[in-house]
Amino acid sequence: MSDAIVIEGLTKYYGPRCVVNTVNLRVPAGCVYGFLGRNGAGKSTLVKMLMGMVQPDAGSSKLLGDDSSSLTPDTRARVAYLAEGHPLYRWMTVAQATRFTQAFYAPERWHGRFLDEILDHFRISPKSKMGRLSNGQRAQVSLALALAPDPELLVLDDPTLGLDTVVRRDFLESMIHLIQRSGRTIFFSSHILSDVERVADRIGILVDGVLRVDCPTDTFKAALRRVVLEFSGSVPRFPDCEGLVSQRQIGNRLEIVVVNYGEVHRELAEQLGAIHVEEVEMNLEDAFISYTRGETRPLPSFDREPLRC
Amino acid sequence: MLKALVWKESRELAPLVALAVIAELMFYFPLNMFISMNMNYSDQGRIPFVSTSLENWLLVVGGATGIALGFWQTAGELSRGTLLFLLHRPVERTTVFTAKLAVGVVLTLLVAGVPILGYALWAATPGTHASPFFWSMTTATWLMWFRLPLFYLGAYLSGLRPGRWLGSRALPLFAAPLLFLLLFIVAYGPLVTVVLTLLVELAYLVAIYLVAQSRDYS
Repeated sequence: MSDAIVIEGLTKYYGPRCVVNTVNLRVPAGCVYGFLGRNGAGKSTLVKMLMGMVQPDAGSSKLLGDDSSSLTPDTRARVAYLAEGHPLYRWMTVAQATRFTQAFYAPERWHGRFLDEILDHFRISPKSKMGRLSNGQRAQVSLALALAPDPELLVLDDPTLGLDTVVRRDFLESMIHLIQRSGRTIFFSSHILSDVERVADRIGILVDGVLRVDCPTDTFKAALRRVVLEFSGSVPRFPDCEGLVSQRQIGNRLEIVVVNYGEVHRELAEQLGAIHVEEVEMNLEDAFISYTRGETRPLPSFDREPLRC
Repeated sequence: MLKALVWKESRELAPLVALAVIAELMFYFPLNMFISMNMNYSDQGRIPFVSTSLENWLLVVGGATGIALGFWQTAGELSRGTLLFLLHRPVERTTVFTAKLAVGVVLTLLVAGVPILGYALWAATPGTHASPFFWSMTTATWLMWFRLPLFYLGAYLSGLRPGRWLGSRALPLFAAPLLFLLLFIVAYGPLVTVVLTLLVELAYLVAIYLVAQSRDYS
């Protein structure tokens, strides 16, 4: 199977700050790839580099075999891109936006009837002005316009950003129904894990510009464990070792998050003198939070003094 | 596709052009024609195309319109995020920017050019004012009109250039009135002025295309 997206050593600096750090990634054709990261992790910058909107300082990327920094109009016609915030011309009506967008595509590529059906499904009148539509409706129009040329690859930059919970759920369900067809590749970024969990076959997690995870969604979930170590006295730091994602102290307990928890980690826990060790399975959301939160300061405990109300 | 781009740019800039036309119609022309029709011998400064008041007024309206159009098409579209939508259309980036520039330059020239032509036609009509008129009297005004896109291109480049500090970012715009004056002072004749103006405008265009191709649209 060929790769729809190939990223090799992609790096971007804004001033002295490295926002995307040597990212290597391959997304096979037909895959739904969820690209996760907290706000400011570098997701949008990476997506913009993919789309040729931002020039990388190092590395390269390819979309459908075409170099991102010089995408040809032919390749752009085969790739749909929904930018963050769904920017559309607010003075246009939906019908005007449709005619304007259609003008750039070959007639045989443009599926006007499909677009009308999507708009009808979302109950959006072609006469509506973009400026008068809600954020959710604008997202729906953006999706309809993106799908009308029947793209082979969809790149969606945080498509549910700014939508309330109900609209987000509706939008995602419609999106899943509309965009999934055999052979179509979808690469979408989000900071909301539940959005990704519902759709993605594979996930990538970007932490401070570094791609820390790139694996099937289930593998990620299965590999991560939270281990709670309880101590009678002072709480030591868990030694740096392979697979250690994070650790934080809560009262007399030490919570560590580890990838592929095994014998080595158990021995280290025993050597620290823990009086009780408990392994806890994590759901995807907990796993994502643990992975992206990073090091935290110890949490204060009220164990030693009774609460006064 | 080019038709769609031109339609979009024209439609988007129409409110700004309408404002410029209103400014011209409401303030200058009724006043100027009234003065020209009622002048006496001691008021020779009011002879059409001899007086500099028309030039000054068109400079203000045409220049201001050019600056507004240039910024609206670049900084405005960047801040609204719509440039990302536009640049992802399956068309060469140079085509998008060429369409924008063509519409902007044409509208800047029309905003000043139509009033000049209207005024000249009025002045050329016998019986409208008690002063001589030859078409050659309009040459200086047309040369000034020809230099107006400098303001537009200066604003366009300033709006498109990335820059942390407004001062350095606005350098092309600050340079525009200086170049405008320089081309006015260094006047070896209409043809030389036209050629020099075209060269300066070409330099602006080259800079615009270079920035458009190389900058980050983040």
